[in-house]
Amino acid sequence: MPVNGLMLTLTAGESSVLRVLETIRARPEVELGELQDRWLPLVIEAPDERGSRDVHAWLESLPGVETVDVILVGLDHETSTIP
Amino acid sequence: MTPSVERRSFLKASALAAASAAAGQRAGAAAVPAPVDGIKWDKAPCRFCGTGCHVKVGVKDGKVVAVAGHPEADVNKGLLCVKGYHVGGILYGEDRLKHPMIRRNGILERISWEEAIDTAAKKVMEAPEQFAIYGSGQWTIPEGYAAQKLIKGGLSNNHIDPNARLCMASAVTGFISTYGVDEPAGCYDDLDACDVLIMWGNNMAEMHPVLFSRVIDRRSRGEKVTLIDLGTRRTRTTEFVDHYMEFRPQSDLAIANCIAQQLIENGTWNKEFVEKHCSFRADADIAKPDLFGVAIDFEDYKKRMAEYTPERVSEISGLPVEQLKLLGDLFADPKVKITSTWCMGMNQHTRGTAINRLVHGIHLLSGKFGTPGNAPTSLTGQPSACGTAREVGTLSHALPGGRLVAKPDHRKQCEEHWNLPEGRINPKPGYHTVLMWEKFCTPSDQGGDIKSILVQVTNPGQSMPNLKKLFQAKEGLDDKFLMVSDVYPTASTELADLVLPAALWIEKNGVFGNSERRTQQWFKMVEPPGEAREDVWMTIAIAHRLYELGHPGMKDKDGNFIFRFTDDSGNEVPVWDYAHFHDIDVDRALYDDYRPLTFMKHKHLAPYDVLKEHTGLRWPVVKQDDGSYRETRFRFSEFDDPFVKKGAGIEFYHSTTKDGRAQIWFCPYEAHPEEPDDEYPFWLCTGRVIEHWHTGTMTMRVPQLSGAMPNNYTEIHPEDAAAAGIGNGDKMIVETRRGALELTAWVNGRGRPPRGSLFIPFFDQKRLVNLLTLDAYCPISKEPDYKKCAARIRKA
Repeated sequence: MPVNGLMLTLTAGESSVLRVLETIRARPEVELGELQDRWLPLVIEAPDERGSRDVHAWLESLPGVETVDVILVGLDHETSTIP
Repeated sequence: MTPSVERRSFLKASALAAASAAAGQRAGAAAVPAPVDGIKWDKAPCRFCGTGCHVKVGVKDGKVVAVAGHPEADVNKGLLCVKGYHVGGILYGEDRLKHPMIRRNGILERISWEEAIDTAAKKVMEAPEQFAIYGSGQWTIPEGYAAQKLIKGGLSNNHIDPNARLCMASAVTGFISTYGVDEPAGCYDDLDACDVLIMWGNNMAEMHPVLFSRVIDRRSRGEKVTLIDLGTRRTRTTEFVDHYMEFRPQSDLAIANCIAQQLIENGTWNKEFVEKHCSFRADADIAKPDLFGVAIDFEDYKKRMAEYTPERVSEISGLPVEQLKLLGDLFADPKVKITSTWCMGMNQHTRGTAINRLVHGIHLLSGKFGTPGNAPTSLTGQPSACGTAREVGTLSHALPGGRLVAKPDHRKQCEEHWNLPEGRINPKPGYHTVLMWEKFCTPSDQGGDIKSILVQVTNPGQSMPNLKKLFQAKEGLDDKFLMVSDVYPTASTELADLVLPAALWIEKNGVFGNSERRTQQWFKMVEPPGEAREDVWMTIAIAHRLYELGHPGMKDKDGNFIFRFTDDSGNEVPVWDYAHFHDIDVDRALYDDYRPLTFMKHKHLAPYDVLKEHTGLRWPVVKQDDGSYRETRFRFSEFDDPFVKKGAGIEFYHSTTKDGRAQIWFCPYEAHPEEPDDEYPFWLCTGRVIEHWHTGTMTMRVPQLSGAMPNNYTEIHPEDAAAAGIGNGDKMIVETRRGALELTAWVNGRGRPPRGSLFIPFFDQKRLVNLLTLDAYCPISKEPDYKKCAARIRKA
């Protein structure tokens, strides 16, 4: 269960920000932090790496989201592999 | 709660706190404290590139459980790149080397540390003058300093070089021949202040993504900043820029000259700046260029530059005249602040020193220097290429703090500092990297006079150019002995006779120096696996065994061991015995010993105790009247640099001409030594990708990174691919005069080379692209050109 902390940069504009917040809040893998100006901290807890990447890609695709920065990555030692 | 659920809860809280802190930082709000319950957080610089991002590392039960961008770090302000997020994972690959091993009958067998150190020392004793150490810009400052002292102050042969020779040696010679002293005058703050950012062969979006994001963030705030990508193929950087200027490989020399020509021709150079602060220079003999050349006057400079008109340079470079004039006009406009950045595109170049000089030259000629936003700034690829290779001076011709082995007074200063007998340090430079490996891979009876090499923190078996000649030829040379200290099995350990398992990153104490003169310190946070140990311990242990075996160079002039450490009571601590290595902080002791040597060239490093309280400080770090220490952002500028004379404005106080002036060089465009021809019609360029760092030793052990980019490939133009009957995803053979390699074709991929060009990343150990690359190098910096050689292709 990867846990990642992200920061979204939202497009300025009150209505688009509210719309984005509502859309994101509906995803069960996502826990929102407190919006600070147009920067939104959040946590993704997905069942696996693919799920985590999918949510990341979905966030990037949302209208009103300018950029998605990963701020913290939790490590799961059991998933290490030899190349 | 079960332990795993509990851990996830902590991680979620920590993740939200870290993200909130970053958001707060952007929004200008107060930082949000991270929860501490269960996870112990400490700071460290990222282990990968030379950007010097600082991370917060969360440790629980002796393991790294989380990594976050450090919100208070000036460099990255809480952000990290995709590699940085996963930096903790590099410690936990399943195949970590955990025990020393020796090769017997072709098989690596486990041995004890005692036997490993004894074997290493005895091999050195067989021919001390033919022993070399090959390190890197990933050495911590104390590690490099110890290796430097062993070779130059102990064995007196100067055969030590870092892999930094392969990545920024041309930047060093460019800085020294221009300003008389190494390293950038500006810093990353220039990225926040410039109006125009010119990236010279520099794919910053992938190679230094956090720095690139600083600039892109300015745009998102509504600031106007013009980005120019001067490159030989389209990259991710190209997608963001205002102007993409695609030039023919090697013609960057002509482009830089063309900018200077326009400034002169149009009378738009900054006459006041040049008259007050600059002189002109050129190589005395272009066939045999050296570091300092000869003085020329402005009229001579003007005459030499005259031929580089936009029209002629357009023919050489392929850039339209309009683009060349745009560059000329930007440098001519006194109101426009320009920052130039470069990395391997300009450094890994057979005329690397020349192109570095020329870019400095156009900044000086236009006066775009010394104020925030106006700077020529090289970026480095390794976390301590600046700190350890350049400042400690682990290059074969150098001594600590900007000193040179060839200078009697510099040798004397180091001999006195190290309490060595006069004459201990050899005045003759040792072998630079290419020569070192050539001598090692040549049979002894044919002039191969390097018998044994100790490799630390680097992977020459994958990263040397022309690998067959400069690494793989070692195979079968029974009188040669290769010792490799590393953290994972690599292409280097495959040929090693002795393998030494090393501690990695936060498994040891360390100090790095990044691209912007920032020195960064961290403490050990977790134990290394198995019997892995610190590189600095290995160096000291080998030295002590040499002392026991009677090597006279291991004694100082009082007869004491050259690595003598004492505790607070003045009693000697036998740190060569690993049972006592942690009795004192050896890292700190070495750093404290090294620090005074940084003062001569005004590269004053901060005291260790000051450093440990910060996420890095940019030298010179000078003590203030109130007892605090202040870093310097803009060197040579009176408003910020305390060593500039009052009233001087700008002062190049280490000028090669001893008059406070920088040198504006003329260097002609010259064709590359291996231009494409009928037989090998393509240019081949090699480099990195965002997911992997250098040879992939660490990043290929992180599942998220190796999964995202598991194999290297060939980027090829669709028309070239079609002409050769190659489709996207097809196997293709890329061949040069040195070898051939089968790779997958990637048409219209992440990078898009123009017709007649190929690009292959070098991270993949399964397909060593350096079997193909050329070992020709810049005659001054001795840095090889990995960016250009001639190749041909066919469908596999």
